[in-house]
Amino acid sequence: MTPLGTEAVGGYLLLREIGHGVHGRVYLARAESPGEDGDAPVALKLLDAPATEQGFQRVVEELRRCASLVSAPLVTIHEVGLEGATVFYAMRHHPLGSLASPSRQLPRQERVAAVARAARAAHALHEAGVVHRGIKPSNILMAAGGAVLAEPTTAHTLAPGQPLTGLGTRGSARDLEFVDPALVRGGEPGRSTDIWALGVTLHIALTGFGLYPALTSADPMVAARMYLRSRPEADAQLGPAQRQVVTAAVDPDPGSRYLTAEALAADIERLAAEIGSGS
Amino acid sequence: MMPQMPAVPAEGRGAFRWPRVEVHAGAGVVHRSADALLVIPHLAVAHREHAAEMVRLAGEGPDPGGSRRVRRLAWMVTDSEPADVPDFALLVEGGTSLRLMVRGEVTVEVTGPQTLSLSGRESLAWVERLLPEAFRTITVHAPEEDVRGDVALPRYDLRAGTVPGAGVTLHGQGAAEEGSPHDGSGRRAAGIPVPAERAPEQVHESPARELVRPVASPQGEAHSATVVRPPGAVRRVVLAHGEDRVPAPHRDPLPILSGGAAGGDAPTADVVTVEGVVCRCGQFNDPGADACVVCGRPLEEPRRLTTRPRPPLGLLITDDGRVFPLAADVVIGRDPQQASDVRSGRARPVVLTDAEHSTSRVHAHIGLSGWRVVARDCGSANGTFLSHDGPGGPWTPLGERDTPLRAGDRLRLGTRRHVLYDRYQMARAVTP
Repeated sequence: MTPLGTEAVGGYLLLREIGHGVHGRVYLARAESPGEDGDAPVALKLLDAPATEQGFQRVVEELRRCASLVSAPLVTIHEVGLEGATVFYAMRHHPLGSLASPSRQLPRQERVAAVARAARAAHALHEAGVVHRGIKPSNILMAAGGAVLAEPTTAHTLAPGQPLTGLGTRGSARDLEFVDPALVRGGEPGRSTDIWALGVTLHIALTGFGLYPALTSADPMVAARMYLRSRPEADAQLGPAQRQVVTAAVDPDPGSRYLTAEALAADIERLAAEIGSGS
Repeated sequence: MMPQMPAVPAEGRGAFRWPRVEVHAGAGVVHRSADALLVIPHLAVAHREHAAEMVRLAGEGPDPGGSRRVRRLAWMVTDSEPADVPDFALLVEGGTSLRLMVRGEVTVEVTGPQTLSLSGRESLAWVERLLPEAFRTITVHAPEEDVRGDVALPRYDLRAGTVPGAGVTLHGQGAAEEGSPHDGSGRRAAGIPVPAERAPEQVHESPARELVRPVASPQGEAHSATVVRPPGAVRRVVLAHGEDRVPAPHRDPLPILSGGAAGGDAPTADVVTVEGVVCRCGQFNDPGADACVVCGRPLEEPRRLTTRPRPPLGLLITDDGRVFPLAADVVIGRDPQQASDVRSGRARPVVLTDAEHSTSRVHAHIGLSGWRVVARDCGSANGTFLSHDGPGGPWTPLGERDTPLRAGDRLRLGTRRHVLYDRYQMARAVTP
């Protein structure tokens, strides 16, 4: 394949790969002809699934909803495009990394505060009728003014028959823990499935590991069996308040979880404040 | 790279004159360089590396007559694992006509004064031929067009002349005058402009413009061919800086408590409904089950049957850690896109690569039948084996008749690759 640095998509020169998810790859890229923003690098996402015109229109509509929420802590999407059958979108590049791989060690309070901001962003999306479908630490981007949530998943608008939010064509057993078991049982994606993912992400921010510890180390088949047969348990080392928030976000019954991501955000903000005050 | 195609008639110059090129819709690759046209009708995951190399090779020059490129391609075909090299046809200018190199399941049909049909199948290696100078059409296609699949297109620089497609038709003398949507001179290839003819960059278009539109055949009837948008044109929609004046259509906030994203999904395949029993917790269950899969409580007697959409019947987990929900039938193999069930959209492909090739291209089929999950071997070379007791076996061979699977069953495809079938089963011990 063409070496990076010479490959261009949609008028952007790809500089290097900075991440790949289950539905596509993200590159650090620069506009071939600098616009009014100068030649600041952007994060350019290229989706794996080839798009038809109709599929592209659905992607544009989803991202347009996201971009219109200007006051929510969501990543800034500059533009969406289609070259051939490849959908690309250019977004603000966040050089400080993500909650999963930050550019510097983050204190616990900062990690928890980042999850609170992601919950606020998720709530804004929900109020606009959008399910994020991809909340996890690698999709929470660190920024000087506070973390932002990456753009919602759009791959489901291109390929029918991928009902399992969070798992794309490269869905892996490691990502299973962010998938609400209710989806595996045939439930619909909605507020509660994003709230589940926020709960698991909060647990990782608090403890450094997920709710199914075996998932990260074991053989993928063993990991999947664990996920399908066990109830997630919050770490025993957590304080009672922290434990309560996590448990209420990942209740096996979606109806017993936080009703809105906003309510969850408020509780996570309280946890962050407590960590900050040293209690 | 060569500049524009010569505008003067071919007879006067003794050089080949490119006719209009139509690209057939599909997920393969059609690449046009200055003096060559490469068609890969069917692209599988295993092909990506070689396909990218072939595209690069096809554009290499200067190589008048293409002999160097044909030799390089021949070397690649000879030196690589056969399954890793996609079937292809290369048309390259050779004097006043086209030189053809075709390998594998690709057919090239020439109509005109001379009728000719050539296929890579006729040779164990490849077929090479100088095509007749005068022709009406040259069509390159694979036996089954419109191959669908999950294979993501490699990200070539499309402006160099690469577009998705399953085949091409070249309209030669006579045909061009009748059917060309362009100036009728036959000079300009409507489908793919040569690189030197770059379309204006970064075209802002109205969102209504189609990516591919059907063209009429020279006879005026609609057929499967499509004209691909000039690859230089890029659709873009600016969202930031308040430049986006188009409001998204109104959508209500998500309902609180129940799921249900309000649209946005791709149109889904036909929903399959099944009869089942709804537990007090709300979960829709197999009427043959003793207890609810979610809350673990015994299902109420007498069973009241309700018809609802079938939930996914579990997950398939590959030994390399990929997870696939079983919401529809699945075909597993090195190249499951070849299966007719996958092409017709009835089944979804799960690709398992295997360096030792003990896994067949189309190896095993996993089907949903009512509430049951069944598996069968697809006539694979090395067989499909079933174990109820983990990787240690014992392994029983699967026939080509459906065998029911139980949660936790493993399948071995050939000698190496394993797939686990499992479903959600909450431990019974919860809330007595």
